[in-house]
Amino acid sequence: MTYQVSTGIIKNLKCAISSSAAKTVYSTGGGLVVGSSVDYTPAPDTTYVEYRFQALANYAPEANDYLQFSLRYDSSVSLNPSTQYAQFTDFNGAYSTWGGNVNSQSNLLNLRFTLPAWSGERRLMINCQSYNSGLQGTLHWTDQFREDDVDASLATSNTFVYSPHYIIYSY
Amino acid sequence: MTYLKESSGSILDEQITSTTNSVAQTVTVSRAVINGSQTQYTPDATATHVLYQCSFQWINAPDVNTHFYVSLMEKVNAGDAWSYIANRSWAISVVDSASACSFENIEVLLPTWSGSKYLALYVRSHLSSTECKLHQLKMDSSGFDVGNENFVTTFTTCTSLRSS
Repeated sequence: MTYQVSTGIIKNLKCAISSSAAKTVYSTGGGLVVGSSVDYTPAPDTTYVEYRFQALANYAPEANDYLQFSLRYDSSVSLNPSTQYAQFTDFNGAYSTWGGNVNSQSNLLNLRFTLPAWSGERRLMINCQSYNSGLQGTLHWTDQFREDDVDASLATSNTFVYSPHYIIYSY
Repeated sequence: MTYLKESSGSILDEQITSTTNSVAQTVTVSRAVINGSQTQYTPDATATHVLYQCSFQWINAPDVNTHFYVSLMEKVNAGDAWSYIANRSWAISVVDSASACSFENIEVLLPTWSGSKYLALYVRSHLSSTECKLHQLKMDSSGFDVGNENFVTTFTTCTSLRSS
C-alpha cells in the first residue's frame, strides 16, 4: 500500500445536494447516478482532484444485488450525462462495487476517488450498472426503513428518498 | 475525520467532538440518540454548506441479524423535541444470519443555516429480533459486551464549507 503525502492547499471546492433524486433501479444497461454530475476545473498548479459522492443503496428488487460504479468524464463538456453516459470516458482506476447475497443489504454508499489533476473543464458523472439482470439494485431509496414506530410492516413508499451529495476539490 | 488542514477559503471552520464510551449501547425498537452523535454547531457566516460527520461501531449482538434505522435529527434549543431532517434517513441492514459488524463513517451534507443548531443521529432497530449494539468490539474469545474493554470512541464533526 502506497500513500501519497501531499501538503497541498485545497482549492476550488464545489459541493451540492441533489433534490431531484428518486428511487432508481439499475440494471445491466447502466445509467447516470443522479446527483453525481458536476462540471469541474481543477485549480492551476494542483496535483490531485478529490471526488466524493454519497447515496443510499438498497438490495431490491432482487434477492441478490451487485452494482458496479465507474467515475467518468467528458472533456468536451457537451454530453448529456442522463442520456449519453455511455459516451463518457472512465477515469482509470475509479471503480467500485456494492452488493450482497440474500441479506437484504442496505446502507449509505460512500465513494471517494483521488484523481490526477487535469487542465481545463471536465464534466464528471458516475455510471451505475448491475453485474447481470439477476443482480439489480436500487439507489436513493430503501425498503428497509419505516418512518413510524408502530406498524411492524415495512411501510416505505416509493416517495421515500435519501438526497445524494458530492464534494469535489483540488489540491 | 478531518480534511487537509489548509484550504484557500473553501473550508471555513471545523468542530470535532470526541466521546469516550464506557458501555455498549443497545439499539432497540425504541428510538434513541447515538451516544456521542449529538453536537451543537454554528456555521461560519459565509458558508454555503455544513458537512456533518459521525463515526461509530456496531456489531450484530444480541441477534444474528442486524437491521436498524438511522435518521439525522435537528433542534434549535436544548429543551426542544428532535425533528427529522427531510430526506436524511436511511437503513443499515444485513439480515442473512451474517454475524456482521462494521465501523460506520457517516457523512451528511446540509445547506448552511444561521445561528446555532443541535444535530444528532437517531437509531432504532427494525424488530426486536434485529437488534445490535454500538461502541464495543469483540476482540477476543470472551463476550464483547462483558468486561470493560474494547470500547470505541465516537467522533462527530461539523465542517463549514463554501462551494465556489
